[in-house]
Amino acid sequence: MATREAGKKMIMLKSPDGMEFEVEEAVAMESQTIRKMIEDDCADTAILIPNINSKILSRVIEYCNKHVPTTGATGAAASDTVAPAALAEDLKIWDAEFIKVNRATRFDLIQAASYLNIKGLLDLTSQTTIDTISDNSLEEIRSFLSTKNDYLPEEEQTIRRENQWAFQ
Amino acid sequence: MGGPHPAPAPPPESAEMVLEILLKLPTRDVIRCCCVCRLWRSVVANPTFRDLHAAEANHVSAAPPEALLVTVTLEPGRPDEASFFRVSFPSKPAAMPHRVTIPSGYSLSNVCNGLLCFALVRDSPEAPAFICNPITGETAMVPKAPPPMGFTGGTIYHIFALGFSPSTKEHKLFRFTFSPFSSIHGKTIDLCVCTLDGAAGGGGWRQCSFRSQCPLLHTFTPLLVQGKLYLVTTGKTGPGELRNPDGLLEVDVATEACHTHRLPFEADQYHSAWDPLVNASEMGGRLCLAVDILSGTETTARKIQFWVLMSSSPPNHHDLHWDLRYSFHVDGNYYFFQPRSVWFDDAEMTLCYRDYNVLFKHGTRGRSPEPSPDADCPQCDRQIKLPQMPSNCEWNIFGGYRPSLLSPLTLAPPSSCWDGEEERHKCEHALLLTLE
Repeated sequence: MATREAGKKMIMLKSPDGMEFEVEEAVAMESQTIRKMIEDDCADTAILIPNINSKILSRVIEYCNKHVPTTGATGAAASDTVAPAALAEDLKIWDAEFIKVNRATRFDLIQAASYLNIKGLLDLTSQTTIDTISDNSLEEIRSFLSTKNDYLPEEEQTIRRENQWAFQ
Repeated sequence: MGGPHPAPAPPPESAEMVLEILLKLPTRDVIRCCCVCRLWRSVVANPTFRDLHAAEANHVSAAPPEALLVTVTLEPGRPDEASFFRVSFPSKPAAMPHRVTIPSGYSLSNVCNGLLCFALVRDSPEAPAFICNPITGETAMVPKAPPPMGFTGGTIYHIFALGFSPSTKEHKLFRFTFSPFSSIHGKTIDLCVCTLDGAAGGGGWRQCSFRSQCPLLHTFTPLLVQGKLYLVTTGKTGPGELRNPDGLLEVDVATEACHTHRLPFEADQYHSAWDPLVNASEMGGRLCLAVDILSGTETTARKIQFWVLMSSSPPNHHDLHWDLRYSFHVDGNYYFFQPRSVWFDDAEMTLCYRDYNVLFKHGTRGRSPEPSPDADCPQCDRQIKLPQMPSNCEWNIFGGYRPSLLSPLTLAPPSSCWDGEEERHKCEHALLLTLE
């Protein structure tokens, strides 16, 4: 794991199950929610992230680590040697790997991204779901989401009929 | 992640997560998702979600425009009712779920993305406009505009147009008031504008007026294309005078600046008292005019031309660049004072022109656009006879519809100052709650 570099401010993130993660401030600030806390000086020693368990939080941090812009004083020299297009391509491949998770994890990630307000992660995690909804039938959507159809048959019929225009 | 996964646990679905996903979907998919389960439906039904979704402008303004069939039924002893049907290819025509009660005598005045604006055109000094969302069935009355200034007497017409500016994200309602006999009653056009939402929303009506050579064409449905509203002025002049050229009035929704340009065709053959036979539609993000050219006095030779506006607002405002794309001859009679409309089916790439009881369909796919005055085709691809509707049912088809969940009530919140109706509804609701 990365060692602490001199001059970089570190932030401690705590998950509700008691795990602590030390991350660079810039990485934590990928989250608009945390950024706001830091800017408002509500984050002196550690920030407790409610509702997000350590497994998911570690993945979120992994994502932020990868996506934090490398334009800092020390990072500039390193990124000069790689073309921005290549970097973007590399990120895309990395994202595609990152999102190969099971449904439950993906939904946890969507929720975490939503709470922490990390736009890139939210877009990435919800995209697959969106693609599924756009292209598939209701049954396929339900099965993809592992959602139970809790309508009574006649109820569903009525709702289907009302919204028929959206299905054709 | 080697090894087989254990069966995934049911996802911890929450309303917030569903909301996040639904916000990213186009309107049509959001509606389909109502049927997934109760939780999803309840999220869609939430007014906060609907406003958030509509504010993600991309879903709405980036979607291809659709055509909407609007029927208005007038049954004696019953309020007027409007129904809506999607009629764009490739989907089968399908009814929207709601029938909407509209104020008596109102007709559709224009389409603004997912909202329809209804108004009274004639003899209606201060009748307010009425906005409706055909998906949600919600309606709202916009507060009355002030009385028009500068008209001493005679008939006056109002044209209402609801506009949206993608740059400022504001909806504005415009009311143009004019005399159809401008040579007698003056050439003033009274313009009232009301910003309905955004930072400047709720500020009431602003009024100004400008002079126009000729009155506006009141049979023309104002068209919204990329933040600009288009209307047409007639070339009509006084008896015995030479006809003026017909004009295009371009109104920038954001700045409210109005410019008049010349229409591309020569309508010299028209009688000086005629209205130009012009309808408009959006075609690939541009304004397309459908013009019925009638010539000859004994036997009429008819030709329908489609002109596309290639550049908007050049430095010299009088020289717009128009392309004549398609033109075909039409047999049969021309019926005055009958509904007409034009729309472009984006999915099928088909130009559709409704001429009273006939529908013309002309495929444009694979045809090179023919920007020359000699673009004449002998005739259009298909000509379909339309069924006769009962006399108490008026219908027309309007292009430029982009489904949205935006509530008209967001634009025109219920207010008790011009109509006690909404207030009464609120009190009734409160009363019922206390009796529960």
